[in-house]
Amino acid sequence: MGHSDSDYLGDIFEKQFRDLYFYGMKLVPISELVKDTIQDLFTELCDQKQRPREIQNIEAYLFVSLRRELLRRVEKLRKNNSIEETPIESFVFSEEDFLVDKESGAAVSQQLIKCLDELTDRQREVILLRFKHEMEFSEIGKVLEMNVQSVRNLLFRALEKIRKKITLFRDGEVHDLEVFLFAIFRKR
Amino acid sequence: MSKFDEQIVEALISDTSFIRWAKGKQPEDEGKWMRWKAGHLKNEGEFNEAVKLVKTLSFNSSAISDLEISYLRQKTFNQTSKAQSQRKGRSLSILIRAAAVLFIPLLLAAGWLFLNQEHWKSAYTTLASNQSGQDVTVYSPKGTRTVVQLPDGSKAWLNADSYLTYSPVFNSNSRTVQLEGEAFFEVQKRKQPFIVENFGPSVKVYGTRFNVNSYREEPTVTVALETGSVALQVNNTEQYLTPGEVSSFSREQKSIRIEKKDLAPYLAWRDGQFVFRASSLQAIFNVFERQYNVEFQLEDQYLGQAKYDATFTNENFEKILHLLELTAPIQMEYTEGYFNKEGDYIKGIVKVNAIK
Repeated sequence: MGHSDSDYLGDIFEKQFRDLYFYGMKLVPISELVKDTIQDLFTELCDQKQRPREIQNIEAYLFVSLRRELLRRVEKLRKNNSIEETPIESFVFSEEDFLVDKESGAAVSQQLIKCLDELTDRQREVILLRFKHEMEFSEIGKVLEMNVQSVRNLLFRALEKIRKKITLFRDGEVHDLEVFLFAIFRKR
Repeated sequence: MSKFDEQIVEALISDTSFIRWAKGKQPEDEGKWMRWKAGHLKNEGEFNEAVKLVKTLSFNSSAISDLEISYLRQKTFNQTSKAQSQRKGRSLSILIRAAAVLFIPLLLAAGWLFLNQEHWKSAYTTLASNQSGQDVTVYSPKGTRTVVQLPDGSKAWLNADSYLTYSPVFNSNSRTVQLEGEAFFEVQKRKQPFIVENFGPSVKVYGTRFNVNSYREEPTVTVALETGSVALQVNNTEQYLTPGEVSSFSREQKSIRIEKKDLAPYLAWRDGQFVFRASSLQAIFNVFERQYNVEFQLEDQYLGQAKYDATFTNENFEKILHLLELTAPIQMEYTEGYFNKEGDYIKGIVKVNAIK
Protein backbone atom coordinates (compact mmCIF):
# COMPACT_ATOMS: atom_id res chain seq x y z
CA MET A 1 0.00 0.00 0.00
CA GLY A 2 1.35 3.36 -0.98
CA HIS A 3 1.99 6.00 1.60
CA SER A 4 -0.55 8.25 -0.03
CA ASP A 5 -3.34 5.71 0.46
CA SER A 6 -2.94 5.81 4.19
CA ASP A 7 -2.89 9.60 4.10
CA TYR A 8 -6.01 9.54 1.98
CA LEU A 9 -7.77 7.18 4.38
CA GLY A 10 -6.41 9.09 7.35
CA ASP A 11 -8.01 12.29 6.11
CA ILE A 12 -11.31 10.51 5.63
CA PHE A 13 -10.93 9.06 9.11
CA GLU A 14 -10.52 12.51 10.60
CA LYS A 15 -13.39 13.95 8.59
CA GLN A 16 -15.85 11.12 9.15
CA PHE A 17 -15.03 9.93 12.64
CA ARG A 18 -17.49 12.16 14.48
CA ASP A 19 -20.37 11.19 12.22
CA LEU A 20 -19.58 7.50 12.25
CA TYR A 21 -19.19 7.60 16.01
CA PHE A 22 -22.50 9.41 16.47
CA TYR A 23 -24.28 6.89 14.29
CA GLY A 24 -22.52 3.92 15.86
CA MET A 25 -23.33 5.09 19.38
CA LYS A 26 -26.99 5.36 18.42
CA LEU A 27 -26.95 1.83 17.07
CA VAL A 28 -24.98 0.28 19.94
CA PRO A 29 -24.28 2.62 22.84
CA ILE A 30 -20.97 1.07 23.92
CA SER A 31 -18.35 3.70 23.37
CA GLU A 32 -15.20 1.56 23.27
CA LEU A 33 -16.81 -1.00 21.01
CA VAL A 34 -17.85 1.69 18.54
CA LYS A 35 -14.42 3.34 18.53
CA ASP A 36 -12.66 0.02 18.03
CA THR A 37 -14.98 -1.04 15.27
CA ILE A 38 -14.47 2.19 13.36
CA GLN A 39 -10.71 1.85 13.68
CA ASP A 40 -10.83 -1.73 12.47
CA LEU A 41 -12.89 -0.77 9.45
CA PHE A 42 -10.10 1.57 8.41
CA THR A 43 -7.43 -0.99 9.19
CA GLU A 44 -9.20 -3.45 6.92
CA LEU A 45 -9.46 -0.86 4.18
CA CYS A 46 -5.70 -0.42 4.37
CA ASP A 47 -5.15 -4.16 4.22
CA GLN A 48 -7.36 -5.03 1.33
CA LYS A 49 -6.24 -5.30 -2.25
CA GLN A 50 -8.65 -2.82 -3.71
CA ARG A 51 -7.32 0.69 -3.54
CA PRO A 52 -9.48 2.81 -1.25
CA ARG A 53 -9.77 5.51 -3.87
CA GLU A 54 -11.56 3.09 -6.15
CA ILE A 55 -14.39 2.53 -3.72
CA GLN A 56 -17.33 4.51 -4.92
CA ASN A 57 -18.98 6.63 -2.29
CA ILE A 58 -16.72 5.65 0.55
CA GLU A 59 -18.85 7.50 3.13
CA ALA A 60 -21.87 5.33 2.49
CA TYR A 61 -19.63 2.29 2.32
CA LEU A 62 -18.35 3.09 5.82
CA PHE A 63 -21.85 3.40 7.24
CA VAL A 64 -22.90 0.10 5.70
CA SER A 65 -19.83 -1.70 7.04
CA LEU A 66 -20.04 -0.08 10.46
CA ARG A 67 -23.64 -1.14 10.92
CA ARG A 68 -23.00 -4.70 9.83
CA GLU A 69 -19.84 -5.11 11.90
CA LEU A 70 -21.28 -3.52 15.04
CA LEU A 71 -24.32 -5.75 15.00
CA ARG A 72 -22.13 -8.79 14.40
CA ARG A 73 -19.88 -7.96 17.34
CA VAL A 74 -22.75 -7.25 19.70
CA GLU A 75 -24.29 -10.57 18.77
CA LYS A 76 -20.99 -12.28 19.53
CA LEU A 77 -20.60 -10.49 22.85
CA ARG A 78 -24.08 -11.50 23.80
CA LYS A 79 -23.42 -15.14 22.97
CA ASN A 80 -20.37 -15.08 25.22
CA ASN A 81 -22.44 -13.45 27.92
CA SER A 82 -20.05 -10.52 27.91
CA ILE A 83 -22.93 -8.13 27.90
CA GLU A 84 -26.29 -8.33 29.52
CA GLU A 85 -29.17 -10.17 27.98
CA THR A 86 -31.37 -7.10 27.92
CA PRO A 87 -31.66 -5.97 24.35
CA ILE A 88 -29.83 -2.80 23.49
CA GLU A 89 -32.14 0.03 22.65
CA SER A 90 -31.08 1.59 19.41
CA PHE A 91 -31.65 5.10 18.16
CA VAL A 92 -32.87 6.53 21.41
CA PHE A 93 -32.53 10.29 21.35
CA SER A 94 -32.18 12.67 24.22
CA GLU A 95 -32.23 16.43 24.44
CA GLU A 96 -28.50 16.76 24.07
CA ASP A 97 -28.64 15.07 20.67
CA PHE A 98 -30.23 18.19 19.26
CA LEU A 99 -28.88 21.65 18.70
CA VAL A 100 -30.38 24.20 21.00
CA ASP A 101 -32.75 26.40 19.13
CA LYS A 102 -32.28 29.92 20.37
CA GLU A 103 -35.90 30.95 20.00
CA SER A 104 -37.94 27.94 20.99
CA GLY A 105 -35.57 26.53 23.61
CA ALA A 106 -35.83 23.22 25.37
CA ALA A 107 -39.58 22.76 25.43
CA VAL A 108 -39.77 21.83 21.77
CA SER A 109 -37.00 19.30 22.16
CA GLN A 110 -38.86 17.60 24.97
CA GLN A 111 -41.94 17.22 22.84
CA LEU A 112 -39.88 16.11 19.90
CA ILE A 113 -38.17 13.44 21.98
CA LYS A 114 -41.49 12.15 23.23
CA CYS A 115 -42.70 12.08 19.69
CA LEU A 116 -39.59 10.24 18.42
CA ASP A 117 -39.97 7.71 21.21
CA GLU A 118 -43.30 6.71 19.74
CA LEU A 119 -41.70 5.80 16.41
CA THR A 120 -40.04 2.47 15.65
CA ASP A 121 -36.23 2.24 15.82
CA ARG A 122 -36.08 1.86 12.08
CA GLN A 123 -38.09 5.02 11.59
CA ARG A 124 -35.77 6.88 13.93
CA GLU A 125 -32.78 5.49 12.11
CA VAL A 126 -34.02 6.61 8.73
CA ILE A 127 -34.65 10.09 10.12
CA LEU A 128 -31.10 10.23 11.46
CA LEU A 129 -29.58 9.06 8.20
CA ARG A 130 -31.55 11.54 6.13
CA PHE A 131 -31.51 14.62 8.35
CA LYS A 132 -28.20 14.37 10.15
CA HIS A 133 -26.08 12.41 7.72
CA GLU A 134 -27.84 13.76 4.62
CA MET A 135 -27.80 10.42 2.87
CA GLU A 136 -29.61 9.83 -0.39
CA PHE A 137 -32.44 7.30 -0.39
CA SER A 138 -30.38 4.83 -2.40
CA GLU A 139 -27.58 5.03 0.19
CA ILE A 140 -30.01 4.62 3.06
CA GLY A 141 -31.40 1.61 1.21
CA LYS A 142 -27.97 0.03 1.25
CA VAL A 143 -27.47 0.70 4.94
CA LEU A 144 -30.87 -0.65 5.93
CA GLU A 145 -30.96 -3.35 3.24
CA MET A 146 -34.25 -2.10 1.86
CA ASN A 147 -35.34 -0.89 -1.54
CA VAL A 148 -35.63 2.80 -2.23
CA GLN A 149 -39.41 2.86 -2.25
CA SER A 150 -39.59 1.24 1.18
CA VAL A 151 -37.08 3.75 2.51
CA ARG A 152 -39.25 6.60 1.25
CA ASN A 153 -42.37 5.13 2.77
CA LEU A 154 -40.64 4.54 6.06
CA LEU A 155 -39.33 8.09 6.24
CA PHE A 156 -42.45 9.90 5.12
CA ARG A 157 -44.74 7.96 7.38
CA ALA A 158 -42.48 8.88 10.32
CA LEU A 159 -42.30 12.52 9.28
CA GLU A 160 -46.07 12.76 8.98
CA LYS A 161 -46.37 11.68 12.59
CA ILE A 162 -43.83 14.24 13.68
CA ARG A 163 -45.44 16.97 11.61
CA LYS A 164 -48.74 16.45 13.32
CA LYS A 165 -47.02 17.15 16.61
CA ILE A 166 -45.19 20.13 15.19
CA THR A 167 -48.52 21.57 14.15
CA LEU A 168 -49.50 21.27 17.77
CA PHE A 169 -46.43 23.30 18.71
CA ARG A 170 -47.75 26.01 16.47
CA ASP A 171 -50.18 27.09 19.17
CA GLY A 172 -47.18 27.67 21.32
CA GLU A 173 -45.75 29.95 18.69
CA VAL A 174 -48.76 32.17 18.79
CA HIS A 175 -48.03 32.70 22.43
CA ASP A 176 -44.48 33.63 21.54
CA LEU A 177 -45.79 36.16 19.07
CA GLU A 178 -48.05 37.69 21.69
CA VAL A 179 -45.17 37.99 24.08
CA PHE A 180 -43.14 39.55 21.32
CA LEU A 181 -45.79 42.12 20.46
CA PHE A 182 -46.33 42.81 24.11
CA ALA A 183 -42.63 43.47 24.52
CA ILE A 184 -42.63 45.91 21.61
CA PHE A 185 -45.68 47.83 22.74
CA ARG A 186 -44.54 48.02 26.29
CA LYS A 187 -41.36 49.67 25.16
CA ARG A 188 -43.16 52.48 23.43
CA MET B 1 -57.02 27.91 1.00
CA SER B 2 -55.89 25.03 -1.16
CA LYS B 3 -55.50 21.58 0.30
CA PHE B 4 -52.17 20.78 1.92
CA ASP B 5 -50.13 18.69 -0.51
CA GLU B 6 -48.05 16.05 1.25
CA GLN B 7 -46.17 15.29 -1.93
CA ILE B 8 -44.64 18.73 -2.07
CA VAL B 9 -43.18 18.32 1.40
CA GLU B 10 -41.91 14.91 0.37
CA ALA B 11 -40.28 16.24 -2.77
CA LEU B 12 -38.49 18.97 -0.80
CA ILE B 13 -37.27 16.55 1.85
CA SER B 14 -36.03 14.28 -0.92
CA ASP B 15 -33.77 17.06 -2.18
CA THR B 16 -30.46 17.09 -0.31
CA SER B 17 -29.73 20.63 -1.42
CA PHE B 18 -32.95 21.70 0.30
CA ILE B 19 -32.02 20.00 3.55
CA ARG B 20 -28.56 21.49 3.53
CA TRP B 21 -29.89 24.94 2.74
CA ALA B 22 -32.55 24.78 5.45
CA LYS B 23 -29.88 23.75 7.93
CA GLY B 24 -27.96 26.86 6.94
CA LYS B 25 -25.09 24.79 5.59
CA GLN B 26 -25.45 25.74 1.94
CA PRO B 27 -25.98 29.51 1.67
CA GLU B 28 -25.11 29.45 -2.03
CA ASP B 29 -28.48 27.78 -2.66
CA GLU B 30 -30.40 30.65 -1.05
CA GLY B 31 -31.32 32.06 -4.48
CA LYS B 32 -32.45 28.71 -5.76
CA TRP B 33 -34.89 28.12 -2.92
CA MET B 34 -36.16 31.67 -2.79
CA ARG B 35 -36.94 31.38 -6.48
CA TRP B 36 -38.69 28.08 -5.84
CA LYS B 37 -40.81 29.75 -3.19
CA ALA B 38 -41.67 32.67 -5.45
CA GLY B 39 -42.63 30.27 -8.22
CA HIS B 40 -44.86 28.18 -5.95
CA LEU B 41 -46.82 30.77 -4.00
CA LYS B 42 -49.67 28.32 -3.63
CA ASN B 43 -47.38 25.96 -1.80
CA GLU B 44 -45.94 28.34 0.74
CA GLY B 45 -47.53 26.33 3.53
CA GLU B 46 -45.84 23.13 2.39
CA PHE B 47 -42.53 24.93 1.95
CA ASN B 48 -42.60 26.39 5.44
CA GLU B 49 -43.61 23.04 6.84
CA ALA B 50 -40.62 21.35 5.22
CA VAL B 51 -38.23 24.04 6.51
CA LYS B 52 -39.71 23.63 9.95
CA LEU B 53 -39.14 19.89 9.80
CA VAL B 54 -35.48 20.28 8.95
CA LYS B 55 -34.99 22.86 11.68
CA THR B 56 -36.75 20.74 14.25
CA LEU B 57 -34.64 17.73 13.38
CA SER B 58 -31.30 19.49 13.67
CA PHE B 59 -28.97 17.04 15.32
CA ASN B 60 -25.94 17.85 17.36
CA SER B 61 -22.62 16.19 16.71
CA SER B 62 -20.78 13.88 19.07
CA ALA B 63 -18.76 15.45 21.84
CA ILE B 64 -15.44 13.96 20.94
CA SER B 65 -12.40 16.17 20.84
CA ASP B 66 -10.15 16.89 17.88
CA LEU B 67 -7.22 15.72 19.97
CA GLU B 68 -8.84 12.38 20.55
CA ILE B 69 -9.66 11.95 16.88
CA SER B 70 -6.14 12.76 15.77
CA TYR B 71 -4.81 10.41 18.40
CA LEU B 72 -7.09 7.63 17.16
CA ARG B 73 -6.06 8.34 13.60
CA GLN B 74 -2.41 7.96 14.53
CA LYS B 75 -3.09 4.78 16.41
CA THR B 76 -5.10 3.26 13.59
CA PHE B 77 -2.73 4.07 10.77
CA ASN B 78 0.58 3.52 12.50
CA GLN B 79 -0.53 0.16 13.60
CA THR B 80 -1.52 -0.65 10.07
CA SER B 81 1.77 0.21 8.53
CA LYS B 82 3.76 -1.51 11.26
CA ALA B 83 1.74 -4.60 11.73
CA GLN B 84 0.41 -5.33 8.33
CA SER B 85 2.25 -8.58 8.01
CA GLN B 86 1.56 -9.68 11.56
CA ARG B 87 -2.14 -9.41 11.00
CA LYS B 88 -3.77 -7.13 13.44
CA GLY B 89 -4.45 -8.78 16.71
CA ARG B 90 -5.93 -5.90 18.56
CA SER B 91 -7.98 -7.31 21.33
CA LEU B 92 -11.20 -5.62 20.73
CA SER B 93 -13.74 -3.62 22.42
CA ILE B 94 -15.12 -3.02 25.73
CA LEU B 95 -12.78 -0.91 27.62
CA ILE B 96 -9.31 -0.05 28.16
CA ARG B 97 -6.19 -1.87 27.79
CA ALA B 98 -4.97 0.11 30.72
CA ALA B 99 -3.51 -2.97 32.23
CA ALA B 100 -1.78 -3.86 29.05
CA VAL B 101 1.75 -2.64 29.21
CA LEU B 102 2.14 -2.20 25.57
CA PHE B 103 4.89 -0.24 24.14
CA ILE B 104 5.51 0.75 20.63
CA PRO B 105 8.79 2.53 20.72
CA LEU B 106 9.32 4.26 17.48
CA LEU B 107 12.12 6.41 16.32
CA LEU B 108 11.17 9.97 16.24
CA ALA B 109 12.88 12.70 14.36
CA ALA B 110 13.74 14.45 17.54
CA GLY B 111 11.63 13.10 20.29
CA TRP B 112 11.77 10.17 22.54
CA LEU B 113 9.39 8.74 24.87
CA PHE B 114 10.55 7.21 28.02
CA LEU B 115 8.72 5.75 30.89
CA ASN B 116 10.74 4.58 33.75
CA GLN B 117 10.05 5.35 37.35
CA GLU B 118 9.24 3.04 40.16
CA HIS B 119 5.64 3.71 40.93
CA TRP B 120 4.90 4.95 37.47
CA LYS B 121 3.01 2.18 35.85
CA SER B 122 4.13 2.64 32.33
CA ALA B 123 1.45 3.29 29.84
CA TYR B 124 0.27 2.23 26.52
CA THR B 125 1.54 4.87 24.28
CA THR B 126 1.76 5.23 20.59
CA LEU B 127 3.88 7.76 18.88
CA ALA B 128 3.72 8.79 15.33
CA SER B 129 6.92 8.53 13.49
CA ASN B 130 7.19 10.56 10.44
CA GLN B 131 9.73 12.85 9.01
CA SER B 132 7.21 15.44 7.96
CA GLY B 133 6.95 16.75 11.49
CA GLN B 134 3.28 15.94 11.84
CA ASP B 135 2.07 16.46 15.38
CA VAL B 136 2.34 13.67 17.88
CA THR B 137 -0.38 12.91 20.39
CA VAL B 138 0.35 10.92 23.51
CA TYR B 139 -2.54 9.50 25.48
CA SER B 140 -2.37 8.27 29.03
CA PRO B 141 -5.39 5.98 29.44
CA LYS B 142 -7.61 5.72 32.48
CA GLY B 143 -5.85 4.02 35.33
CA THR B 144 -2.37 5.00 34.19
CA ARG B 145 0.11 7.84 34.32
CA THR B 146 2.73 8.50 31.71
CA VAL B 147 5.96 10.47 31.47
CA VAL B 148 6.67 12.15 28.19
CA GLN B 149 10.05 13.53 27.30
CA LEU B 150 9.57 16.44 24.94
CA PRO B 151 11.90 17.33 22.06
CA ASP B 152 13.46 20.27 23.94
CA GLY B 153 14.32 18.16 26.98
CA SER B 154 11.30 19.32 28.95
CA LYS B 155 9.27 16.67 30.69
CA ALA B 156 5.55 16.21 31.11
CA TRP B 157 3.89 13.86 33.57
CA LEU B 158 0.50 12.98 32.15
CA ASN B 159 -2.27 12.01 34.53
CA ALA B 160 -4.95 9.42 33.73
CA ASP B 161 -7.19 9.98 30.72
CA SER B 162 -5.13 12.85 29.36
CA TYR B 163 -3.93 13.80 25.91
CA LEU B 164 -0.83 15.79 25.06
CA THR B 165 -0.11 16.89 21.50
CA TYR B 166 3.16 18.43 20.37
CA SER B 167 5.31 18.77 17.33
CA PRO B 168 8.24 16.35 17.18
CA VAL B 169 10.37 19.31 16.13
CA PHE B 170 9.59 22.47 18.05
CA ASN B 171 9.86 25.48 15.82
CA SER B 172 12.27 28.29 16.48
CA ASN B 173 9.70 30.81 17.76
CA SER B 174 7.88 28.83 20.37
CA ARG B 175 7.42 25.45 21.93
CA THR B 176 3.69 24.81 21.86
CA VAL B 177 1.84 21.83 23.27
CA GLN B 178 -1.87 21.14 23.59
CA LEU B 179 -3.31 19.52 26.65
CA GLU B 180 -6.63 17.91 27.35
CA GLY B 181 -6.58 16.45 30.84
CA GLU B 182 -3.97 16.98 33.53
CA ALA B 183 -0.19 17.26 33.34
CA PHE B 184 2.70 18.45 35.42
CA PHE B 185 5.41 20.13 33.39
CA GLU B 186 9.07 20.57 34.08
CA VAL B 187 10.18 22.99 31.42
CA GLN B 188 13.78 23.45 30.33
CA LYS B 189 14.99 27.04 30.21
CA ARG B 190 15.14 28.29 26.64
CA LYS B 191 14.80 31.55 24.82
CA GLN B 192 11.60 30.49 23.11
CA PRO B 193 8.50 30.48 25.30
CA PHE B 194 6.89 27.15 26.15
CA ILE B 195 3.13 27.40 25.67
CA VAL B 196 0.45 25.04 26.96
CA GLU B 197 -2.85 25.41 25.14
CA ASN B 198 -5.86 24.07 27.03
CA PHE B 199 -9.55 24.70 27.65
CA GLY B 200 -8.68 27.91 29.52
CA PRO B 201 -6.14 30.69 28.95
CA SER B 202 -2.88 29.55 27.37
CA VAL B 203 -0.01 29.17 29.81
CA LYS B 204 3.26 30.75 28.72
CA VAL B 205 6.54 29.98 30.47
CA TYR B 206 10.27 30.01 29.89
CA GLY B 207 11.53 27.51 32.41
CA THR B 208 9.62 26.32 35.44
CA ARG B 209 7.59 23.59 37.17
CA PHE B 210 3.83 23.76 37.16
CA ASN B 211 0.63 21.72 36.93
CA VAL B 212 -2.26 22.24 34.50
CA ASN B 213 -5.63 20.58 35.01
CA SER B 214 -7.91 20.93 32.01
CA TYR B 215 -10.28 18.00 31.58
CA ARG B 216 -13.07 18.18 29.05
CA GLU B 217 -15.69 17.24 31.64
CA GLU B 218 -14.55 19.65 34.37
CA PRO B 219 -15.94 23.19 34.55
CA THR B 220 -12.71 24.73 35.83
CA VAL B 221 -9.18 24.85 34.46
CA THR B 222 -6.51 25.21 37.13
CA VAL B 223 -2.85 26.07 36.87
CA ALA B 224 -0.67 25.57 39.97
CA LEU B 225 2.84 26.96 40.00
CA GLU B 226 5.58 25.24 41.97
CA THR B 227 8.69 27.18 40.96
CA GLY B 228 9.58 29.88 38.43
CA SER B 229 6.98 32.06 36.79
CA VAL B 230 4.17 31.55 34.30
CA ALA B 231 2.04 33.98 32.34
CA LEU B 232 -1.61 33.29 31.54
CA GLN B 233 -2.88 34.84 28.36
CA VAL B 234 -6.28 36.24 29.31
CA ASN B 235 -7.99 38.49 26.76
CA ASN B 236 -4.82 39.82 25.17
CA THR B 237 -3.27 40.65 28.49
CA GLU B 238 -0.93 38.55 30.57
CA GLN B 239 -1.52 37.66 34.18
CA TYR B 240 1.36 36.26 36.14
CA LEU B 241 1.50 33.57 38.78
CA THR B 242 4.15 33.49 41.47
CA PRO B 243 5.23 30.24 43.15
CA GLY B 244 2.54 28.85 45.46
CA GLU B 245 -0.25 30.48 43.52
CA VAL B 246 -3.11 28.72 41.76
CA SER B 247 -5.29 30.16 39.02
CA SER B 248 -8.81 28.88 38.53
CA PHE B 249 -10.49 29.68 35.26
CA SER B 250 -14.24 29.19 34.98
CA ARG B 251 -14.92 27.94 31.46
CA GLU B 252 -18.52 29.01 31.59
CA GLN B 253 -18.09 32.51 32.97
CA LYS B 254 -14.69 32.99 31.33
CA SER B 255 -13.43 34.50 34.54
CA ILE B 256 -10.19 33.87 36.33
CA ARG B 257 -9.22 33.89 39.99
CA ILE B 258 -5.66 33.76 41.28
CA GLU B 259 -5.00 32.77 44.89
CA LYS B 260 -2.19 31.67 47.13
CA LYS B 261 -3.04 28.11 48.12
CA ASP B 262 -1.82 24.85 49.51
CA LEU B 263 -0.45 23.18 46.38
CA ALA B 264 -0.75 19.62 47.68
CA PRO B 265 -4.17 18.95 46.15
CA TYR B 266 -2.79 19.96 42.76
CA LEU B 267 0.53 18.18 42.79
CA ALA B 268 -0.02 15.09 44.93
CA TRP B 269 -1.28 12.93 42.08
CA ARG B 270 2.26 12.40 40.81
CA ASP B 271 3.11 10.54 44.00
CA GLY B 272 0.00 8.40 43.82
CA GLN B 273 -1.75 10.54 46.41
CA PHE B 274 -5.16 12.08 46.28
CA VAL B 275 -5.65 15.26 48.22
CA PHE B 276 -9.06 16.92 48.15
CA ARG B 277 -9.90 20.26 49.73
CA ALA B 278 -13.56 21.26 49.79
CA SER B 279 -14.15 19.06 46.77
CA SER B 280 -17.62 17.91 45.89
CA LEU B 281 -18.18 14.19 46.05
CA GLN B 282 -18.90 14.30 42.33
CA ALA B 283 -15.48 15.86 41.67
CA ILE B 284 -13.87 13.16 43.82
CA PHE B 285 -15.74 10.47 41.87
CA ASN B 286 -14.57 12.01 38.60
CA VAL B 287 -10.97 11.68 39.72
CA PHE B 288 -11.42 8.05 40.76
CA GLU B 289 -13.21 7.20 37.53
CA ARG B 290 -10.09 8.27 35.67
CA GLN B 291 -7.60 6.79 38.11
CA TYR B 292 -9.20 3.39 38.56
CA ASN B 293 -11.14 3.14 35.33
CA VAL B 294 -14.46 2.53 37.02
CA GLU B 295 -17.83 4.11 36.69
CA PHE B 296 -19.77 5.63 39.57
CA GLN B 297 -23.51 5.36 39.24
CA LEU B 298 -25.29 7.74 41.58
CA GLU B 299 -28.76 6.85 42.70
CA ASP B 300 -29.48 10.54 42.87
CA GLN B 301 -27.38 13.41 41.57
CA TYR B 302 -27.73 15.38 44.78
CA LEU B 303 -25.52 12.81 46.48
CA GLY B 304 -22.59 14.23 44.56
CA GLN B 305 -23.00 17.77 45.82
CA ALA B 306 -21.73 17.47 49.37
CA LYS B 307 -18.19 18.78 49.89
CA TYR B 308 -15.33 16.97 51.55
CA ASP B 309 -11.73 17.24 52.63
CA ALA B 310 -9.87 14.00 52.20
CA THR B 311 -6.38 12.61 51.69
CA PHE B 312 -5.66 9.13 50.39
CA THR B 313 -2.13 7.81 50.19
CA ASN B 314 -1.42 4.77 48.05
CA GLU B 315 -4.60 3.15 49.23
CA ASN B 316 -6.17 0.45 47.15
CA PHE B 317 -9.49 1.26 45.60
CA GLU B 318 -11.65 -0.84 47.88
CA LYS B 319 -10.03 0.72 50.92
CA ILE B 320 -10.73 4.16 49.49
CA LEU B 321 -14.38 3.29 48.97
CA HIS B 322 -14.57 2.05 52.51
CA LEU B 323 -13.03 5.26 53.86
CA LEU B 324 -15.46 7.32 51.84
CA GLU B 325 -18.39 5.35 53.22
CA LEU B 326 -17.19 6.08 56.75
CA THR B 327 -17.24 9.82 56.20
CA ALA B 328 -20.06 10.44 53.74
CA PRO B 329 -23.69 9.43 54.26
CA ILE B 330 -23.56 6.99 51.39
CA GLN B 331 -23.43 3.28 50.74
CA MET B 332 -21.48 1.87 47.86
CA GLU B 333 -21.63 -1.42 46.07
CA TYR B 334 -18.59 -2.25 43.96
CA THR B 335 -18.54 -4.75 41.13
CA GLU B 336 -14.95 -5.26 40.09
CA GLY B 337 -13.87 -5.01 36.48
CA TYR B 338 -12.74 -8.20 34.78
CA PHE B 339 -11.44 -9.66 31.58
CA ASN B 340 -14.00 -11.68 29.72
CA LYS B 341 -13.31 -14.78 27.65
CA GLU B 342 -12.30 -12.70 24.70
CA GLY B 343 -9.72 -10.84 26.68
CA ASP B 344 -11.70 -7.62 26.78
CA TYR B 345 -11.73 -5.63 29.95
CA ILE B 346 -15.14 -4.94 31.41
CA LYS B 347 -15.11 -1.80 33.50
CA GLY B 348 -15.85 -1.93 37.22
CA ILE B 349 -19.00 -0.26 38.51
CA VAL B 350 -19.67 1.46 41.81
CA LYS B 351 -23.30 1.99 42.70
CA VAL B 352 -23.73 4.88 45.11
CA ASN B 353 -26.84 5.04 47.28
CA ALA B 354 -27.96 7.25 50.13
CA ILE B 355 -28.01 5.57 53.51
CA LYS B 356 -31.54 4.45 54.10
